[in-house]
Amino acid sequence: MDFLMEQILFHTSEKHQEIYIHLNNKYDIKYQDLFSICASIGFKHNRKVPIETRGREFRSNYFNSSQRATAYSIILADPELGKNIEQFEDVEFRRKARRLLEEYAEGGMEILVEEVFGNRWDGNILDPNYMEYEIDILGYIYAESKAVPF
Amino acid sequence: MKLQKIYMKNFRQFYGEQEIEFSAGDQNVTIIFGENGKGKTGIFRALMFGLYGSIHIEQDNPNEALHLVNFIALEESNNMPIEAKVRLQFESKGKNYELHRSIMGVMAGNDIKERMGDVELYITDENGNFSPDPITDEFEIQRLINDILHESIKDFFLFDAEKIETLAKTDKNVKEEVKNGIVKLLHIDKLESAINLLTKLHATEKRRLLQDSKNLDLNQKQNEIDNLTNEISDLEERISMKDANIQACTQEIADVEAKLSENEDVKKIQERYHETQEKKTYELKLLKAKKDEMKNTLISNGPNLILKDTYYSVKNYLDQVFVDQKDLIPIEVIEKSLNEMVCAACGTDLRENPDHLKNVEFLKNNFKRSNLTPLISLITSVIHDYQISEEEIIHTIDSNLKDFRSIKDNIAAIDQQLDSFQMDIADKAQQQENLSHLESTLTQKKQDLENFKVDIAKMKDQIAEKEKDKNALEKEFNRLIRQNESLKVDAKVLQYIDDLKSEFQRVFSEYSDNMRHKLTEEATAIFKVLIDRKDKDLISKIDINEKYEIEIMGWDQVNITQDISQGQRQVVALSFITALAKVAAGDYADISFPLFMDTPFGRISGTNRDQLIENIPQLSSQWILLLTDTELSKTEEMQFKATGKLGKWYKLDQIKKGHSEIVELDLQESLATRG
Repeated sequence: MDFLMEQILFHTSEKHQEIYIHLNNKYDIKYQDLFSICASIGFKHNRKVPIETRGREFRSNYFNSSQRATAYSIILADPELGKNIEQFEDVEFRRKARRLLEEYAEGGMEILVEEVFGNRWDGNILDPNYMEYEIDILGYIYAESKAVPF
Repeated sequence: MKLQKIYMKNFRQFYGEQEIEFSAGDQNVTIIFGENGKGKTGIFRALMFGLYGSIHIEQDNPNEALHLVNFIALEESNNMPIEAKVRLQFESKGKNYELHRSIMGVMAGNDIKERMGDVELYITDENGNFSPDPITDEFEIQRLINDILHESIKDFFLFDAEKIETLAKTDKNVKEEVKNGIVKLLHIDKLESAINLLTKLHATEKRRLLQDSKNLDLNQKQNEIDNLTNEISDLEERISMKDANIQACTQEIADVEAKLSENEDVKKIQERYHETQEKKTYELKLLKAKKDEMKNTLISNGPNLILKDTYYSVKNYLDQVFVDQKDLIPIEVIEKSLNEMVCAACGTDLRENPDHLKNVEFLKNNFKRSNLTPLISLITSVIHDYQISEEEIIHTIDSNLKDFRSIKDNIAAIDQQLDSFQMDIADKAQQQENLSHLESTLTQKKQDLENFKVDIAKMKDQIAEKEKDKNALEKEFNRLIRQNESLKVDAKVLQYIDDLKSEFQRVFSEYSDNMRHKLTEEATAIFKVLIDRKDKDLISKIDINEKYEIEIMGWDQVNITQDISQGQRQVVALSFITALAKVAAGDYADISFPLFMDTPFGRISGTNRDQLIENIPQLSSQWILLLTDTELSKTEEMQFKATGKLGKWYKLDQIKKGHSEIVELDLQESLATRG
């Protein structure tokens, strides 16, 4: 049932893969770490964006247990797929769940680009001279958590 | 290898017969002291000539004529030939060696002609058996000596003044030399030749294929690849030139600053400047630690914080599912209750309460392990763990963000202070005519230095970009070949060569990676011992990277190779050499190569010198030093004597021009001529 323990391939988009690479190389924030953050942001803002061209990939068994719980929570809380834990065995359901997470992650990344990276993302690379992306992302999440809904 | 004795006759300045015994064992330091021009390097030449028959040493121009036979002896000989001799005694792996070499010289008018004489090698084996007939075959001798200390790596152990300077640079030749050293030490030079051979073969085959096929697409692709290759190597060359510029510039800045500090006022401000800079380093360290902490929070709790509201509904849903599970109460609990006839959860006596007993029995009969339970437990426990610490996490993030801003503010304030010190120095310098031009040079040089660094960073980015393009083109090229029916066989041949090369490369890098790591570890450990205490934390690692460059990593893992002083650079080079000697000795407890150094302390500061004097004797089996008067002042002399490691003490006396005498001194005597 804990299907993310298996080696399911997750893709990031080619469009944003440089962000994944940069934060991995310079900040040691692994693909699965950033993916988890993005998927959560995308879900929170209900922003799903299909991946046009696939970029970097990673296997789901890299998720730690907390990240798996996060991913399952998103699946279980999703308006379409949610509240369906019995379906976790089903191959087709798993395929849909994988795509759902990828689309939320892509949507979340768009939000990060708009709200956090701003001009430092030129569409191709993140400004390599700027050194505080991790602080900015955390600051954004913190501010969001404090914001009163509605 | 242990050097025991060198005997010279009419060799360079050493008129007549003279000899030096090298110290080893507990007192493993030998010092030969001489002011410039008195023949220190002559002794180094004698060693190189004795071991390898070399007439030139690394610092010489190999095209320039150099004479080894003593001038005075030649002049006195009335046109008769004079023989110069070197006899070297040393020990290696239990065997004793005595190597004799000679060179004949004759003087006709102003012209000197020299011709190599015979060479003889006597060996006494481990059991003391002495072969009365020497080996006289030059090739055989070369083979034997190379086995002990290969000529191509000798420069790492027996080196002249220039050597540390060179190693401390970061240019292409140094890279080659470091790589060469590693390859020779590992005895994988043959593997390297095989790789080179296959690379050439691959290129030739590819050229042939292109000529034969006359396929325009392929040729065009290859042209593009060639162009990119050229552009990359151009860029690499430009980077290495810029590197040289940076080093020159850093040196000039240090020189100008030293000159400025001769002025008392300027010196005072400089001191405050440096104190403030130390404060800044401290704040930067704090900032780095804070950043790391916040990154970890981001990774471990970022998603939780975003989903905190969602978690409530997920947990409610899972609680509902959970209640419906057939394994809500673990089977172990049920069985324990039935075995002991006491409910393991509430302690009710089941014998006295038949209803309860029935209930437990019902649970047992209906127990069915659900595969959902572990998953539900995983999710709910993660959510639970987060929820109980949520408040604390939010509070920590809040105070970390505040701390981070406040450290950044401190740094900005310190930067302002530093700027104002700089301006004060500039003002003071401008007030005095003799200093004003120094000050403008300094500003200019600092600007240059920054520009060079930016240029290098840009060029490195360009190289990475071009490498990426080149790889893509090569893939494309291979795809085109494979698609072309008529080239199928050729494609297979190319592929085969390529595979073979990759396989050799894999083995090669496996071995050399291992060696690089050992060297990195050793060099870092030795550096930590050798460097002055105040600089200890400045450098976290001396890394020999996969391109065989010596890289110096700062406390924050940032590459600071270009930022350290010339003196620190030399300590890095010395650490590397000592590490190489240690790694080369393999599993032997101590280094079995002598370190023979000609004027090594040139640019090394006083405190760093003290560290070297105290520690190198512990790190190497034998340390032979040729020192000049500026390197061996009273302070260093005391330091050497205090180690108790000094075994032999010589000075070079110049009787007249062209005649130096080696005089052995008592260890109690004093040598230094400067305070």
